[in-house]
Amino acid sequence: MQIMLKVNGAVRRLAVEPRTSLLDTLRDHLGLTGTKKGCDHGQCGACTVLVNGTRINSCLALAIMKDGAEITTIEGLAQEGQLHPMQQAFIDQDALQCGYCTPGQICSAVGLIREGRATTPEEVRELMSGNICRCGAYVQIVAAILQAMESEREAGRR
Amino acid sequence: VNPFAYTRVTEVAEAVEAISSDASARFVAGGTNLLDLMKERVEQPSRLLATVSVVA
Repeated sequence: MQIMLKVNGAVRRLAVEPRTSLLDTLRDHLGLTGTKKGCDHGQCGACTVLVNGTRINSCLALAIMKDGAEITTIEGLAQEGQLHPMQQAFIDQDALQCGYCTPGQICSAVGLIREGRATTPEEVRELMSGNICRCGAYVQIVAAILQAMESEREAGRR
Repeated sequence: VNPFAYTRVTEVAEAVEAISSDASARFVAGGTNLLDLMKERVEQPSRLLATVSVVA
């Protein structure tokens, strides 16, 4: 089936089988391998991307179900050579070890801030519980997200 | 995941007709449960009927 996705600002038209997941479409059809395949069952969150601004597990979405949608992956967060504040915060807070879960963590965290529901560290932890970090960098991940929230507040963008 | 056909249904009558005429068709909304069951081959639908744009 012929579909159109707006991926990181660029219109991409492609033919996919109905059973192709959004994750496989991004990685195998569009070459965007920043989005990771962890469990492929919606349990780990490594495949998290933003669809029309909302974070979803791309392994549990069919590409055809997202026909016409705007997709943002980890590759699309930096703007004009400037890291996204969340990417910078992950670096500042040393919020990763192996880095495999990081693209999903960062996309999920960007979605979290957009939802506007988390204010405390406890709420951040709860609302990030769909993203597993096997290295156990949770303390730094929460710190990074709080830093990014703070810097967005200071920038007056909220 | 088994190969399957995919149809977007937009009206209730159309949805009912589609599910009635194909015993192994399944409705799909978000898909986070059904697609996981399909990966495990617990569900092997012949057709997915996408209901996101159904107007009640």
